[in-house]
Amino acid sequence: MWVARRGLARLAALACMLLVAGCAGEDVGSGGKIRIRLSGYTGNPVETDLVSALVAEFNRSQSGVEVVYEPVPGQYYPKILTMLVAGTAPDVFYLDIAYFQPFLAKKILRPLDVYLARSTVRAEQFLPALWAAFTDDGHVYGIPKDFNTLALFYNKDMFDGRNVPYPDATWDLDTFRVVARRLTEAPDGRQYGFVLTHDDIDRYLPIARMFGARLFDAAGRCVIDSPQARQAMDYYAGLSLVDQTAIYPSEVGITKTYDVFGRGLAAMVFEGSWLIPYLRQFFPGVRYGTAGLPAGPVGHSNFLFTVAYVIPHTSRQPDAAWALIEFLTSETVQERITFAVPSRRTASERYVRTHPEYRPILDAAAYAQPYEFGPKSDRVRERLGLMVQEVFLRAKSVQRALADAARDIDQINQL
Amino acid sequence: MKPSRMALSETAAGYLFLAPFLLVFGVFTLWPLLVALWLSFHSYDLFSAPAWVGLENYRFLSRQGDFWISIRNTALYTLVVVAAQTGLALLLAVVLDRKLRGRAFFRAAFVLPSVTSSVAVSLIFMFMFFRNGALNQALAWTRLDAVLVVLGLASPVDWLGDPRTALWAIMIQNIWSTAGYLMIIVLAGLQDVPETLYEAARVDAAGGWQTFRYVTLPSLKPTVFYVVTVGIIGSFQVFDQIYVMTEGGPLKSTLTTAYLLYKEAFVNFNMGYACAIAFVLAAIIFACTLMQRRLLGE
Repeated sequence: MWVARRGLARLAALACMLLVAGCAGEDVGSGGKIRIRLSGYTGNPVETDLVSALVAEFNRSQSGVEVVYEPVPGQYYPKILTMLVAGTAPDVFYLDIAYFQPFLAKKILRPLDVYLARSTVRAEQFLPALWAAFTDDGHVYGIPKDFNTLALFYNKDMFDGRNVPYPDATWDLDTFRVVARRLTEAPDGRQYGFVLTHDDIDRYLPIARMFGARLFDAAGRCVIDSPQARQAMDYYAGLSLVDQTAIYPSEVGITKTYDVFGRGLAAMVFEGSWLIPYLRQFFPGVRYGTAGLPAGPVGHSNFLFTVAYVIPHTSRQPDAAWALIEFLTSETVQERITFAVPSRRTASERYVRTHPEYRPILDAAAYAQPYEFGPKSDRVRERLGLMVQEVFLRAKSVQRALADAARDIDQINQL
Repeated sequence: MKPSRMALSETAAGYLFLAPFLLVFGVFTLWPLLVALWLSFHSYDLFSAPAWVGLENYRFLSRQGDFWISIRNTALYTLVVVAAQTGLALLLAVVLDRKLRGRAFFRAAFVLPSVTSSVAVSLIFMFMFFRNGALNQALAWTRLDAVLVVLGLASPVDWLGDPRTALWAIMIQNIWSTAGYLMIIVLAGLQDVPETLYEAARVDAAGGWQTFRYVTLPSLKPTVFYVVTVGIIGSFQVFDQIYVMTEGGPLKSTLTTAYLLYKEAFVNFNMGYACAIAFVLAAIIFACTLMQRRLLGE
């Protein structure tokens, strides 16, 4: 009995030691260095490779800090949020602009003003829209790493085949519609003017703004049922439902719009610069060009997709975390980005001079609206996606679909 | 009379032997269940402390359109899938119980889908269900696409993109992948039916159908009960195919209760509400199982 009790006591002591070792080991790396963790999503292998290399360089340059890079495949935000709750979140992580307001509302983010005050990083060094995107009530919460907007990608061979001049700054939505018709080979349907997805708000909302519509009014009420928004929906859905010049990927047995464009099944698509490395890798033979999105009745519009490095309140090493962010957003590192447009002014200008296909992406940043939907971002976007789907699948009239969505979104935001 | 010292120590020893299981069961099953029940009466987003809301989550659930849509979809799904997969499993088992040439091959072939990763299977089926996919091609080749036109569907159908067909497409995939596994269970049940009963049936000059109806089927009752119960539970919890193939769309036509629960818990972080959904789902499954027990006279 006594022997058993002694064995049990040993076991308990071992468990305690393991627990203590587990807790203490978290912040201490090899050679007594402070260990911090960096996480981001893994959509782009080029980016993952670059960040791995940058982290290795940072670790070599630092005597007291060791960074562990932990890219998250798959469900990034559920994972980050769960880690935040469990107290195991990384010290620095990517935050998409769509999640900035939700994270702010949950008081997850640490303001960076203290660190900025003693650093050489300045707002003027970055594109103003990007800096503003992660600033709230005068406090800066994230340093933008890069960005994207939408551009009109067009297949040069398909344009040449029909003797259609390439898109330029004079194009408006009417020109776009006419050209989409000319480039569609009906009725066998082997070539379409445009490819879209039928639950896509990322393309519909800029078009709605080109017609003068807004998502929310000054009081925060959803006004997506305005006459301008209806006109825009008539136009956008009309490309598919009336003109039949736009196609969904599933109709041609494909899951992504990228592949429909890459395979030459559609002559035009609205995408960000993420399409460029994709085409280079999978469709190197495609001759394509990029242009700004066509203008609507009240002018240009676009979405600003940007991601920042942020530090959560849960980080126990915010100074080391800031040193890492400073390094990752420095001018020299920004010049090595090849998968998006750098967020620094000079780096972005230099980048588009050597990569002219990115020019429309940078130009649109001057007027693009941040891709944000308030503190209930996920629910609002999901409801808007459903609205677009209801119209495209003819489940509701445009007026009904937009009015129902506006009502539901106000309910989601509890207005 | 007081229990003897001996009996008491026997009881203690019994519990001691049970202790490892009770510990694991208590920590990993009972405790989370109780916490989930407690949370279902709270508003909880993981970041702020749970706030007591009483029955509000259950009240909200009763008037939330999405919940009722998910219940309707899940009920239809369960009804069709359980009936079809049980029938198919019975049929396959009865056929493969005979001494057929290549019996081992067919048994293995039918079980294969159930041991394949459901995500991989879902991805393959996604391609088959495309407008220009294998299913439409097969229907066109066999001229069966005329049936679709009669049903008011324009051929070729975008199976997963059309709200009228998306749930049915997922049902087809699920029936295909689970019928084989259930067949093995029924096959085991069939081999337990005493040969003497069949002999007696032969003596009484019973035909094939009569033997099946009055000998095989009644003997298989416990097996069928098990197969149907497993089927109901599995169907009520259908998630992975929905997650991979449709994400509840188009137009919520494949929004099932388990998928709604996942979305509320891990996308919207409405933990209290998600727990309420989980308990209602559990209550429904429990009620269905009880009902089925009564029906099958178990």
